[in-house]
Amino acid sequence: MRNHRSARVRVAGGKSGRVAIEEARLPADTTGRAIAQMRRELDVMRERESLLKHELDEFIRLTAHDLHEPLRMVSCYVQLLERRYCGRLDSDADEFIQFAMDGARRMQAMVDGLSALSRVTSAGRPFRTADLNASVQSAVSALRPAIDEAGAVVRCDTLPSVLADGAQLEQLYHNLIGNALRFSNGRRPRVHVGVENKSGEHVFFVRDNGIGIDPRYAEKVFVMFQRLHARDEYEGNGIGLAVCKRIVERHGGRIWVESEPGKGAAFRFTIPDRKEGLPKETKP
Amino acid sequence: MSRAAKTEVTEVLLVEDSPGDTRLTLEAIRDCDLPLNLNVVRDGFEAMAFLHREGRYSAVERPALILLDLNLPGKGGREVLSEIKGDPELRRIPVVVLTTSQSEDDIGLAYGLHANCYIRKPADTNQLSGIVKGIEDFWLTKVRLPC
Repeated sequence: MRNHRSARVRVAGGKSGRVAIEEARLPADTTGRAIAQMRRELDVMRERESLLKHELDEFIRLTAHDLHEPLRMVSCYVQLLERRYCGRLDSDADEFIQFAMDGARRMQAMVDGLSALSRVTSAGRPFRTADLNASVQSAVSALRPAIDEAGAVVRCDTLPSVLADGAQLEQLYHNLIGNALRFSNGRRPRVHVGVENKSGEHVFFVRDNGIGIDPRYAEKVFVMFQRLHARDEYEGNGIGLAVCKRIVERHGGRIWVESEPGKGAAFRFTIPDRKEGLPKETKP
Repeated sequence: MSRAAKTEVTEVLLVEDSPGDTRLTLEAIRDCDLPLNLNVVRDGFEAMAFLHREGRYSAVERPALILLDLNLPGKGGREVLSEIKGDPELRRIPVVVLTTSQSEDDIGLAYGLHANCYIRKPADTNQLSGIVKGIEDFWLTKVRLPC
């Protein structure tokens, strides 16, 4: 049933007139039923999404696991070839062996990266109150040799405690600070680890004075195996930030980067304050 | 039993189904010039027959050490481990679980079944040589085993 009403409205250009407004008049129980139906559909969709996520996790885990074995054979036997036969065949052979070694090493790093990615969900621990200062300190200690080598200055503000998997937040900070050290542009790296309060939400950040990232690639950096630089320019297996994204998402937060080339980068993430409940895990 | 002299060869049983892995272990022993004689069986049934000196293994020497892969066809490594550690005679032989799995469950399970140690197979031949040398140095030279 339709109920026609009219209203006087002023439209752009100053003209006014009467416009018919069509309004669906639904009895209250019909509305209730429609909402219930939509809720059910939403639940089904959420369920499906969670299932798909789980399947993807399993796929990554199995792929990494199954590739590991044959790859180990290739790596080991190419190494044996190199150790025993390098310099004993001819210069072509030596070069071929080196390319094969390099390929095997890179693939190894990728497979290790895939394992690391799948472990975020498969080996994640339950959320407990975690002191972020401790997570940052552990990450900084582990990175100490790299920090000293780069002559870097790492400044850490006081951070709050959050409900989280502390080991994963340490890994998150390890990857973000490690990245800041690596993409340093030859300057003495300055890394600032801190938190801002934006509209009632903690926004954590790791800011550096490094080479920065073109905003065009701001999304791409979080995608698995995406590299923005030549392999010999900057090391890395293209998995660190993908792992960061997974960790933050497992905690129900968001991660993004704000940067301009040459002006450093600020990686920001949120970890929701969850007193009322935890995000649903995709793990069965 | 510690070896009286370095020149004596020690019997080791390798339970491993992959020829590629077996060869790598042999090459590592060769690289490090270790006085070990590697006896290789490819599944759990063979392993138990070897240890009980049954059938074609009636004349073999009991190994001083067992290197055990967990993923075997037929009777698996876990079953072999549990049978060895359930046998009053065989349980004295140190079992080194040498496997590709890095799952915490597998590690827990192996120690739960009284494995003597758990080592993940490395993807690097230098590391493998180091591990094999380390096993020989610790379990067969430094450690005193029962006669």
